[in-house]
Amino acid sequence: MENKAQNTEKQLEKVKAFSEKVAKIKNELKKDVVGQAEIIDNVIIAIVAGGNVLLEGVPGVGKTRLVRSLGRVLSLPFSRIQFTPDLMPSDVTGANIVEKDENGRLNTSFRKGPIFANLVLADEINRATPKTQSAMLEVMQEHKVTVGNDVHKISEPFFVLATENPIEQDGTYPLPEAQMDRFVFKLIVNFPSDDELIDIVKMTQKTLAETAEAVINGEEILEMRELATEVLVADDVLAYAIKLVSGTHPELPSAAPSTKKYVKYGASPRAAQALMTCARVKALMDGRYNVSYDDISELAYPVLRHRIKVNFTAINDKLGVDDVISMIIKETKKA
Amino acid sequence: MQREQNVSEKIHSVGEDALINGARVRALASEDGKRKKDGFAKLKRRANAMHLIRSLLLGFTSAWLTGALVLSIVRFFPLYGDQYQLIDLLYTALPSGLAQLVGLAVGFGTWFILRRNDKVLAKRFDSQFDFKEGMQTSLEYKDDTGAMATLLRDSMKEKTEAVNTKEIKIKALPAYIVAAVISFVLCVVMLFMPYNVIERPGDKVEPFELSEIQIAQIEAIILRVESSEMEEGARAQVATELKALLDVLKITKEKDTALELISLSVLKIDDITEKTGTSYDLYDTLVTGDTIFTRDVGRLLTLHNWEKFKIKRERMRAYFEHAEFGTENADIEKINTETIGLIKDSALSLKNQLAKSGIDENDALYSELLNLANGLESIASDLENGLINYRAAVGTSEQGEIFFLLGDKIYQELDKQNKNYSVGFGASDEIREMFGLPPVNREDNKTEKKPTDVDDPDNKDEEGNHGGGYGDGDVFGSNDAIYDRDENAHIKYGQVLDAYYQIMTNSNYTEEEKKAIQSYFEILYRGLEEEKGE
Repeated sequence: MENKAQNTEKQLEKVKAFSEKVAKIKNELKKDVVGQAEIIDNVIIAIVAGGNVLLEGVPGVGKTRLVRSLGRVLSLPFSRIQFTPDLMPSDVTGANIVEKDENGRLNTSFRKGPIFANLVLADEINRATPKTQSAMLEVMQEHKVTVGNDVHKISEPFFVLATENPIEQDGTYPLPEAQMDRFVFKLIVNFPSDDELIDIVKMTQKTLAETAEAVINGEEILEMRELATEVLVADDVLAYAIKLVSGTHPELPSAAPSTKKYVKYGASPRAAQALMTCARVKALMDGRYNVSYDDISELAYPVLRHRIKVNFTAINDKLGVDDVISMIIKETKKA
Repeated sequence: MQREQNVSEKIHSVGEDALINGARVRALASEDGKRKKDGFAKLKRRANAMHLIRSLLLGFTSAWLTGALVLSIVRFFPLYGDQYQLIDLLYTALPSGLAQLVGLAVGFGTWFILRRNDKVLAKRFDSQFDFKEGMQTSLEYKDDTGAMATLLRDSMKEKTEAVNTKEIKIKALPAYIVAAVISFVLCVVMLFMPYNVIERPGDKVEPFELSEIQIAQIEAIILRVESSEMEEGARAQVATELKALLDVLKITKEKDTALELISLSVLKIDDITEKTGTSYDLYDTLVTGDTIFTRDVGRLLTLHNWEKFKIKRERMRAYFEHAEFGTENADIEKINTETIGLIKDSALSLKNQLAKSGIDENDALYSELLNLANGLESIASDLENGLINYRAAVGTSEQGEIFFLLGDKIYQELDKQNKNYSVGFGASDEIREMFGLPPVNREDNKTEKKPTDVDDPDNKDEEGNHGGGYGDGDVFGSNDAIYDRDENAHIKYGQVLDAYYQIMTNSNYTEEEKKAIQSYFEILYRGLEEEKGE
């Protein structure tokens, strides 16, 4: 009984620490990133949950700056990969090279690519060729690189934050569904509001330097991740999440009416996993010990928007994927 | 010693630690247990209390509504009797019993069927108090001893303590209360609504009072009977019966009683009258005789008109006329022989039927008919012995021994009986008319089974019209005639109507007299209406 009380107290301290760390991260990021509070929250959720994030937004909204600041705040080794059409897979993962040692003998050694970091910014990932994009698949999912017969593990925690430019479609290669599925979230970085733009201009007029400081390290992130897995989920809430994901499949009997009308194909089971994992983190961030229906509903957008493909009827009706997701949420009854 | 002291101290220290830990453990257990009782349990108690109240309200409302409905239905149905049906078991128990049954069913049904289980309650609380599914999660993990589950329970405990349980209320409570009040008021109103009490047709006591006109009419009938030529004994009995009837009717106050007394009285008068004559019974027997002559004698007894009697008499004489008599080359011997045979057979047949009738030989009519039979035998004998010839015996139209044998004496006796009938039956029929009783079909009354007249099975012979003064047509008379006692004959009904209208328009008659006559005819007409079912 006494141990139980102690455990409880420890747990409470961990929860408090969790909240404090999240608050610190946010505060630091605010120094370099104006506005985008929801994006920051979701990015933190994804990172704590251990998932990759796809950021979509027009140029200059601060996607890269956010990721860089994040790397500093999280004290994580950071690398940036600018994807271009001529980027090769080995440019991402690294390659075996032949070197002369001090004795003049030729040896092959593996030169790690920029992927070998804890926090990777994959800029304009849709500009790379499918071959290069596929090089990201293994590392994003399994956090390892296989070159020849050698497997090179990437140290934890590992995140990929990729960006996409929605405007420039010429010379781009849409990400395959398999790769899209590797991103736990797709976040839309909107153009800042006028007030936010004023703050941005004022801030960058003074200096372009990024002043956020490290407040957390990788180990702490892993601890936070572990704590989040203990957050409780009621059966009905879980059932709701499952219903939501299966409701995106038009061929299933459980499909929502809007799905049957507007969706071409629905989300994979990874969506359900992502939903639950991230919902736990969100609950903890809100100071709760259990996941709520609202957590599921709110996270449905970043989790599903890149996993659902809308059909021509939706396009014809001028409905975006978020509109369809809203309809599906409304039509999905809570247990 | 030091070592022992150290051990002792150690033991003591361990013991103290154990005590402290034990106390702490108990405190934690108590707190944990208490934690389990608080929070959800507190809200659940409140929710269940509200559900109980709602069940009760629904139960009472449905009970009162049912009671009101049943009472209102009961009120529509007429009740016979006085107005104290309120205490009648059926009309009190039925609404009450049904109402209770329905109330209990609805109340219990609502409680058990609609009572929310813990999971549903927890969801309701989560939604109402924005617990973000904390309550239902906490309930699901109630047996989980993990740290997170404990923290969740602690968190929910804090949140529930901050909740005002009065916020858990019945949705639309005012509607429930209003419905209960309205149903209660309806029920009470219907309870005190008067019943639709009507009187049973049989229960209705219609008053009766013998009018002066009716007294006068009855007295007139009595006078007529007493001054009639009805047989003395029967006359006195009929008069006595009529007087007794008059006396009792003067004091009778209820119509039903009066009609019953009148019915009994007229039946008695009819019975007395029947016993004064034997012509009906003789007819019944004679008309089944084995010779035409015998049957004709029976039919003869139905005639009450001397002219008709003479006609019939002649026909009966002609029955014995031999077809060969008076023809060229007639065999007188043969004619005599056959005629004698016919006369003898007829006489014998008549005698046999008379014997079968069972009528007392001292009866005058019987005696005359027997004389007829004997007379025929005597004629046959005289004819046989040559004391008289054929012509003398059979004779011609309204001549001959046989014709005279069928003579006045038979008719006289018959007429006496008919006169008794007309007086007796006439009195009873008049009484019936006066008080609206249905007329009597004398034929059916006099013979239980009317014998079939073999010579006239369809009874087309109007001379065979048997009975007293009234037939069974639409008016009291045969066809369009009505029997007039004074004239001792049937007169056309049109004449009666003429007389009626003359009186109505004649200023010599008082209003009271006119009204009495009008009432008489109204009774007649009402009798017709009842027969026709109007």
